[in-house]
Amino acid sequence: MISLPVVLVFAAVLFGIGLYGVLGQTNAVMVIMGVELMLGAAMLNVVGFLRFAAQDSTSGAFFVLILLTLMALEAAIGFGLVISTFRNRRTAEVDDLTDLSG
Amino acid sequence: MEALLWLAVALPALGAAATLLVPRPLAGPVAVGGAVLAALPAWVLLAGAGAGETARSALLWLPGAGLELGLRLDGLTAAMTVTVATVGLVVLVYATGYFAEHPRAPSALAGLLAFLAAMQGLVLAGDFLTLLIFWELVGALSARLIAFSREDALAPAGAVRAFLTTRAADVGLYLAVIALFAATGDLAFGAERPGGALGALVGLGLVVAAIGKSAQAPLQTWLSGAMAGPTPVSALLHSATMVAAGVYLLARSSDLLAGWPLEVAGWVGALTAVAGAAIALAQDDLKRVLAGSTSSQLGFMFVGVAVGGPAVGIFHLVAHAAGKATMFLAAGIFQHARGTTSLSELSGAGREDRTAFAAFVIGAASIAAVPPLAAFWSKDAILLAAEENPAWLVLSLLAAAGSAAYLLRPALVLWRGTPVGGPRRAGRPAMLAGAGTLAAASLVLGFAGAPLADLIGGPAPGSSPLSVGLSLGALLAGVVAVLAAPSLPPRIVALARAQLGATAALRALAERPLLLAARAADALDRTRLDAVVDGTARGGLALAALSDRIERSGIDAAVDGTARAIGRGGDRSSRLQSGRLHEYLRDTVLGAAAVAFILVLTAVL
Amino acid sequence: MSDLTTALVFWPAGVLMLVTALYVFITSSMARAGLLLLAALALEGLLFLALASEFLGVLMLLMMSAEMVIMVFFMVMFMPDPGGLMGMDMVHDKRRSAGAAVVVGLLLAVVAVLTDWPAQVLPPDAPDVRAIGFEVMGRSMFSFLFAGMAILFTMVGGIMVAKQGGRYGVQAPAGEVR
Repeated sequence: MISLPVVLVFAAVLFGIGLYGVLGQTNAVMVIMGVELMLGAAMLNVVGFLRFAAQDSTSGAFFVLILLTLMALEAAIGFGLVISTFRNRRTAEVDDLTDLSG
Repeated sequence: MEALLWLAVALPALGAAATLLVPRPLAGPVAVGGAVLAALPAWVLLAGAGAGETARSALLWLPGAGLELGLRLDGLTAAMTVTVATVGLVVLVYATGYFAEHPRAPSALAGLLAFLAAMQGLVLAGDFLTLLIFWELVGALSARLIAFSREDALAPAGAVRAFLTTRAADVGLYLAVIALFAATGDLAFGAERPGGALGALVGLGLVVAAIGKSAQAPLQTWLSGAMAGPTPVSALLHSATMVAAGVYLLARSSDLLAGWPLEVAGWVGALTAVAGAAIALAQDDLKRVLAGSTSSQLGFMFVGVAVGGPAVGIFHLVAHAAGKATMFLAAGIFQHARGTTSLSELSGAGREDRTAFAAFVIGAASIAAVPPLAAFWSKDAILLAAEENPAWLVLSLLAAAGSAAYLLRPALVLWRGTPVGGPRRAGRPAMLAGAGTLAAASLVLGFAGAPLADLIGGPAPGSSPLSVGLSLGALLAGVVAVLAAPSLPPRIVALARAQLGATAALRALAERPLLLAARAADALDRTRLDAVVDGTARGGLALAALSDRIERSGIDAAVDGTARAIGRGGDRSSRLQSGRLHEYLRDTVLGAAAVAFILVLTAVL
Repeated sequence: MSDLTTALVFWPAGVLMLVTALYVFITSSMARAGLLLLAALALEGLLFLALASEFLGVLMLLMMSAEMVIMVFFMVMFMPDPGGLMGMDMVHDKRRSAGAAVVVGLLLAVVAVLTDWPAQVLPPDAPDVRAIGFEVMGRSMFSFLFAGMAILFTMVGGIMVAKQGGRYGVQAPAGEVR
């Protein structure tokens, strides 16, 4: 039966996958993709709570709206940075960006 | 009177200083003048003592201990001071002649005067402490005088031997004084000997000191060595004054020495009288004959004090002083004529200088006890007193025969032989004057016996037909022996020349053990004590090195180690900042997850 | 929706979503990665619909479709091997990041399961879109306003960041007129 824990587990697994992408991928664009997935998992969480715990909460839905906005914004800025990096260094690999080492 | 006492001691000293300070040509006259001045108080003191006066003058030295320095006038001191002053004056006159051509003449004359001052202090001393002080001064000054003729290699050695031997014997005097002070707290003369061990120490110490100073056996060897000094010194010190101090000591402390100490002194004297005569017979050097004779005669004096009392011993002391000094002064004239005192080279010197030879003969006759010369009467008195002690009497007669023999021998050598005839030396008049004066004294002093006894106290030195007969018999025996048998067997000669083994005995018993002890002490010091000091120093250094090592390996290492560990920690933690985004993210995620998990779990549980 | 329909939609969509999400990072083709992401998020939208949030589900579907296409553009532009034909392994620290992912996921799952949620099973009477609109335009106006401003800022900022020469533009070499 679909219940809150089920949804939450799904969200958890999705979060883990997203985390795998963030931590494991070398390309910056793939990292941003991982972040998208993580945000998606968060949204799934909220929706699950909306459905099973706080059905008359409009502010919950609004929260998801905001998360969605955040997803888009973050992707936009992220891609702008990728362009700038690629322009200056001809690479979008995260491993090459080690200027802050030490 | 008290002032005269101090003057008698001070004037010779001032004379010595003056002699050194005036220009050279004046040194002789000033020295003689000083001696004349110094003799005056002595004669006045004698006059006073003869009239029965006594006096004492003391300076408080250590009031807390009751010690004082003082001089005193009584019969004994008066007799001695006149002897010393007169013989000293005569010898000084002689010395101006003897040292006439010597570059350091003023120094010699001043030395003689200084010695006279010390000797006067000795004979005028009022208590044992003062006596001890002047005793030591006399010893020190005598060593300097002997070493005066330092051009002669033997003189310094002789001086050292004289000084060391007499000084070693002086330990006896020190011990006696200390023991006396410890026992009675009073160092005046005329006390009775305390009992017990301290008293024995007093008696023994005094006798030992007298033996050393008067060149008695077994300590008689230093006198022969002292003959290397100038002849005036031998005449003054080693016939008339310094060596006589031992006899004076015995006479002075005859009350303290009553009983076994005087017995010991008597035996030593008797044996030395014979031994000295034997040694004198075998000598090849004129002055050494006279030295052996002096030892022998002093032995007589010891016997005299032991059996007859102080007056007998002092009588012989005075007579002997005149006679022996005359012989020494004459020997000095021969020495200047021939340049040596060796008998083999002096043969015929008597014929050259008949005046000097006459003086010599007079002195020799006196000492050999030819009547009516002075020493005959004094020796006779001793023989008389010794009649109570047969052993001593026999020994004395043997020694008397010996004295005749050993004096006749050199006289014959001096007379026989061919005179060389050289130019008369400068200063001869002064020397002859001195020798002549004392020769004259030897002629007349025989009559001083009774007055001396009156002065000093005690039985008068007398004679008896027996003593006179024995004395003349001994004299004859000696003369016949010399005329009949001209030479002694070589082995005896060698033995006598070796001082009858005394030198070797002293070397084995005293010198070698002391040197061994000194070397042992040095070795001990070097190996043990120095080792301790070095060891302490090394230990200190080792300790310093150890603490340095501890500091360097331990503390410094700890400090450095901590710094290095922190550095390494810093290095390792800087590796966290790899610049790689993923690692940052991973670490962030893990940290956040842990925190969240804990929070939630605590909330849940 | 009835329970059965909900279940029929939820379960397949959910599982598929997870699978596609995983394949995003497994595949070596960039185009496929982007499209798979699109699929995953679209399926998520479907899940929203199944969970009675129609507005949000539709919104998700709409947004994701446009966004993911643009993402595919970027991937092709900047990836070294967009077609995935050269077989590069673009993962580093595979084990550690996988491990971290697993750990975190497990953590969250455990928390989700073990927590005692309040048992409120209300009828699936979701607030309708109208109520959400009233919420947005009413009570949450402030936040909405800010969200709008944020979008504006992001637009400007994104262009500035991506522009050649940054803020100040490309400096023309002396003498040359641009």
